[in-house]
Amino acid sequence: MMKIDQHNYEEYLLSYIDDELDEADVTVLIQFLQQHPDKQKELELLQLSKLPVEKGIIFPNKQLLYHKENFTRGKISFMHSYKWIAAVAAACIALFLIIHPFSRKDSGIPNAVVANTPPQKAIQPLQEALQPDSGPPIKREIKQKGNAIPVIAKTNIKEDKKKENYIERKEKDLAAIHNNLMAISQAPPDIPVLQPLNTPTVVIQGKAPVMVAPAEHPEAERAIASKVNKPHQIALSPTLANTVANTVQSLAVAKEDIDSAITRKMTYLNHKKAGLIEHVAKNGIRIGKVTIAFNE
Amino acid sequence: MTEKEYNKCVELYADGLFRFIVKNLKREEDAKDIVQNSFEILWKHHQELLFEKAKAYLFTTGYHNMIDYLRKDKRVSLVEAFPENAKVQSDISLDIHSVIQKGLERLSEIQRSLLMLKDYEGYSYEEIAGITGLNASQVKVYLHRARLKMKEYLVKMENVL
Repeated sequence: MMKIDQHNYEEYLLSYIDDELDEADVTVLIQFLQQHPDKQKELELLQLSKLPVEKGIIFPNKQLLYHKENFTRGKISFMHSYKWIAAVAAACIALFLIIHPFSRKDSGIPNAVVANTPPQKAIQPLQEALQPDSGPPIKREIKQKGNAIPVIAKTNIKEDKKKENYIERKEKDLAAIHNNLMAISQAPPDIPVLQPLNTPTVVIQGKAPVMVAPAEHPEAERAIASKVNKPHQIALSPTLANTVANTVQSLAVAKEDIDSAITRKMTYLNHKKAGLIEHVAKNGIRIGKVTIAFNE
Repeated sequence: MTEKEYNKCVELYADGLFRFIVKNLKREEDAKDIVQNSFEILWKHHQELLFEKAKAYLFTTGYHNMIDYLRKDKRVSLVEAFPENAKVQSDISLDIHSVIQKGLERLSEIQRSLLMLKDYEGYSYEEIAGITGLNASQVKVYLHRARLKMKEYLVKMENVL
């Protein structure tokens, strides 16, 4: 800055009040004021123009301005997870159709339908199958993978080597069939029992008819797939179920936020309207330089 | 700027922005609207804005919004037919706060805004220039004229009182 003199000192004073002087300029100004005490009075008067701090004024509707910090993230993640879920659900259904068991409790479809398979391929009921062609039955339990199917057969207490071999062969046949089967579980009730193509059907007496599909049988899979049209009845893996639950939760949160925003906006508008009426009643309306007040 | 930083802006700047607008506009409800609009615009652009720039952005948005309101005000015409129970008010408060307020009212809109940005918010000439669209030299000149005008008025009022 230039040297302070009688002509430019006012600019210095004003810049000082505006807090725009650097340290060196402030020092120069102080020296000038010490030499010219009358200018100090002028500084004091100019300082009156500095607006006093007004801490009492606060914005009353601050809560309307805040945004929930996870709200947008929720929306974004929902959009992402929606597509992701669709992909996973499709994969899951495909997986379900490929490896999941299809079985059915009795829902009005007669056993005859299930048993309606080519005679040469049909497997006799287990009890019959395990029963030797002749001789007294024995009581026996056949173990399968993960399932213990009690099978009662009558035989003589007296051991018969030939018959035992026969039973063993039957067990092996059953095991072979079992290995060729998928796991057994309950299918949704409205999925009709399909007739596996050129594959064995097993009917266990005393239990609901169980339809079994052969492993890696594309035609059967396609047939089954064409019947599955209610995805909500398909069991989900825990991870996928969790994801779906989270998505439902996100939707609920989003809806709640929108409802809440509408409520808050309405409250604000009502408040504003009430405030305006009160303000006008109290202070009148100012038009130009004229204020019109209303008698209460 | 993150959502957390946006919420920090609400906490830090809502009161200051409201004070700046309401003191200029003198209508609380309109000032609330302007503050709310300014924060809505800030929220809309929060992802592309830096937190450090948010305050200036808010004040710039609020300032220009306020100017629009003030311009609309000037187009309001005087209603000729007064209600029967209307009366003309003419009360003068004599406390210093009111005197300063009256002094402020004698300033032009731009002078008043600059004075408030300077004294309430502590902005530099450069920062005020950024908010108002003026250059720093103009800000300095307008501010200095405003202070001189205020000083003259206050001295005169002091003599009257």
